[in-house]
Amino acid sequence: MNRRNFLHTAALLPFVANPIAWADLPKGSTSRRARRVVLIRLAGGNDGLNALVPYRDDFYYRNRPNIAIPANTLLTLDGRDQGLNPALASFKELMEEGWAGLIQNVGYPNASRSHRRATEIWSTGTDLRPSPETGWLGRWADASTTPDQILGFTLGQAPARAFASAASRTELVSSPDTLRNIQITNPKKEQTTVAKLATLRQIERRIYEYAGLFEQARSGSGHRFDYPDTEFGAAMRWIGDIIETQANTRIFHTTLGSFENGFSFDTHLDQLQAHQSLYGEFGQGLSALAKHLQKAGSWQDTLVLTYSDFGRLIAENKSGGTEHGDAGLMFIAGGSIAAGVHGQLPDLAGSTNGGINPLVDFRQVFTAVLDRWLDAPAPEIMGGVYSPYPLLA
Amino acid sequence: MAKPQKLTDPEHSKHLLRRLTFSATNKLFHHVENASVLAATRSLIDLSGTATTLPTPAFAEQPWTNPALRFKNMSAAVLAQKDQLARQRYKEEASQLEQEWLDQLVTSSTPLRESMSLFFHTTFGGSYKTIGPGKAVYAHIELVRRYALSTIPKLLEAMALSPAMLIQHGYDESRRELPPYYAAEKVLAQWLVGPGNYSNSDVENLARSLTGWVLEAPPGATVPDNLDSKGARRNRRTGLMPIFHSEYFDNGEKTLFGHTGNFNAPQAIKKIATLPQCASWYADLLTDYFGIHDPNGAASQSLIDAYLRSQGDIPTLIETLTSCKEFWSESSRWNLIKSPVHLVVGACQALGITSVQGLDLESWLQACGQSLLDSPNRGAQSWTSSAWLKPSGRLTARYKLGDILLAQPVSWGMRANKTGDLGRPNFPAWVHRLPVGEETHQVVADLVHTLDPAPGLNVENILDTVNQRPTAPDVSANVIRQVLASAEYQLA
Repeated sequence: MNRRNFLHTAALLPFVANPIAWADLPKGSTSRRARRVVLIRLAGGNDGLNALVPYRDDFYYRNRPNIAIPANTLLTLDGRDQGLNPALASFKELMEEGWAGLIQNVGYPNASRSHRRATEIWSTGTDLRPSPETGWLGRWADASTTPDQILGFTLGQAPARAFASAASRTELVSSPDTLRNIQITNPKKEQTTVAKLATLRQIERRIYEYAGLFEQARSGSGHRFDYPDTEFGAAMRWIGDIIETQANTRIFHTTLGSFENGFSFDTHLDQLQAHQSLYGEFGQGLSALAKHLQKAGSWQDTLVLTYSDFGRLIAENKSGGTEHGDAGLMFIAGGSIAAGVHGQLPDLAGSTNGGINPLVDFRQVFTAVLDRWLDAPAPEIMGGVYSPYPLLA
Repeated sequence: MAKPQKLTDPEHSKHLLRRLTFSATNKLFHHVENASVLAATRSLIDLSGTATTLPTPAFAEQPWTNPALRFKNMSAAVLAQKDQLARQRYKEEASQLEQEWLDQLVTSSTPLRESMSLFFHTTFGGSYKTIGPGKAVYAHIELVRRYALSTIPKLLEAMALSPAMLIQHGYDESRRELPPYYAAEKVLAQWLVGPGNYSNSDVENLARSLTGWVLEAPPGATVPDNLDSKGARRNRRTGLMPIFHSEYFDNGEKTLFGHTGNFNAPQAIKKIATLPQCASWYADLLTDYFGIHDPNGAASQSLIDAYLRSQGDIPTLIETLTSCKEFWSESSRWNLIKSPVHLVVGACQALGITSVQGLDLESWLQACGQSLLDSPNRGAQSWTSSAWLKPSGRLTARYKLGDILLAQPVSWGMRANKTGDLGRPNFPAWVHRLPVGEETHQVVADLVHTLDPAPGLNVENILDTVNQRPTAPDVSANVIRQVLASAEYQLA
């Protein structure tokens, strides 16, 4: 799809860095206050074509002689010409239970194939230059009128740009254990003429506040569920435990895949091996979260979605991998989503640039999250009007 | 605190040392006490003349052979494997270098040179992940250390041909047909005049000046003749010596900030380094690095004047800085959030730790946001003093410094520490060497005094907690943990 085809979905508004405040208490409902978003970054650019495999498309097998997933190993999906990568068995179970889905061909026109720029576009929700400092969910947090100062956590080693908030309403927690035993000075004793000391004390109090939340989360029942014993699995468990043990944190971000250790989704090399590990970890982590939150009674109020830098090229490379491409696949999960496979089979032979042509603008999905799930003014936050993608049941 | 004539008040001496070095050690304190501010500053500068080089690691002694060369007919899979092995090797080299450099910072008898080296390293930025060979990273650190107290134009001129910088900024093998605009903008923004203080024409002209240099094997060295000329530069680089290729160089006139000439890379950079715009940029960077509260810009202006008068002489700039009344003002005192490196080096020096080998400082520095050899792409923009607490959760990692120095396990990452009760801690030898007094109160007070936190830390509160563990190493360890995990200790 080119930019002209996209125009019917998007009427651009001037980008608003700090959108107008919106009433967080939606019309007569209290349950919506507890609605949460768990955003998972699949770091490196996920190849959706080997996750949801078009096994009746000869073009796929011809272009991937070494890394195509054999049809007889796929997890079949009723009535579809596509099957799931066998490493996604846990995810398939969730789909069958009506708790998970996939949105195909998600991207944007003239997609960037640079990791840095593509992540910037997905995270800020715009391809404008210069890109805003804030992320799309960071702006949502900035605009919230709820009294809670911290509305979201990024669990991982680096701040997520999608959560970058002008009003510091999100936090990065890299090592929950370092939050233990944080001391704060008795306010009565903190008379000081040193300005920087006062600043540090403020930070201490802020940390103390959310350290308490993490301490409370330790009493959660996450340990009873089969989260993977990995950084991602541990982050998912923290998310589950925080949701279970308190009600105010609304948005969570974590990352699967690392450029430093283990595998990333940037599968230029040995893609099959990387996917087996990553998809297995993803499915297991998501499945554990689903069971955990169902038990805790919060699954209906939880929406999980993934994003990645880009999709990958249709043809394999010479290293058992794939190169940077265009549109990709979004995984969604939750107690209120429209489960199943969304969108049409990618037209591989009709690819204009070697990658998958985008048919769904990712901003439509984000708009649905803001407008339909969080009851927030999506156009102001996204800086444009996009028709919400029907991802909810 | 008004600017003193002489350092007769111990607090004045300590303030000077906390800013120009990493800590006010006894030795340095006695070195500067009772001297005039200028004499004390000069004595620290003079001391820096005795600096030694970093120990040369084995990988830096030998000529570098590219482990990821691409030969003709080499399969992509083999090349990818070579790339992966090379990355692993460079990571190990960087890790070794980081430890060596930290040891040097901790034990150096020339702390001002080390501090200024850190300042310039921070300003230029650079990551071993981009640069690659540890030999180039080592040479870069040594280059910065060597020129850290010369003049800024000379330092920048040398930087222009630092192999690490050619690779970092991507102007190795740049040709006149495609001048390295991105590199030129980075160099202008980080090294020379600061972000946005240049025109598109300056970027274009500097990019043309940066053309012509290629990192390759020294003349006469044997180079394989079956190299594949295609592919990434990292797979074609035969050596780390910058060789000028006139056929790649844009040999026309270039105009930089209104000055015209046929500049090459070192000449162009040196030229800009003599201009008021560069003086202004370094005045801003230095006032920030040394934590000077300069609301009216008077200190900055003094630095700009001194820069232009002395042609960027770094000792003159330091003397100017310490002679400003803003350096000594009440609002500048304890106004500096120490960088993570400043924190750890100062703590080691105060506690008599002479080597950081074996301590997990790599993880700690990473958690604090200052991996020494993986500085942000935006260089000075991201590593200004205000960056250390963004996001604010970084403070929690900083507060773990005590545990790291005491060689106690710290659980980094999302997985909770499941080890439970660790039993009696096994402290490193230096803890047992700390003085033991008759009175616990005195031991605690002495240790707090040694660590030198900002005023406000309550010794009585610390005593309340240490009394539950009265034996000597436990008392010391507990005090160290508490002081290092205090807001007061974050400041200089």
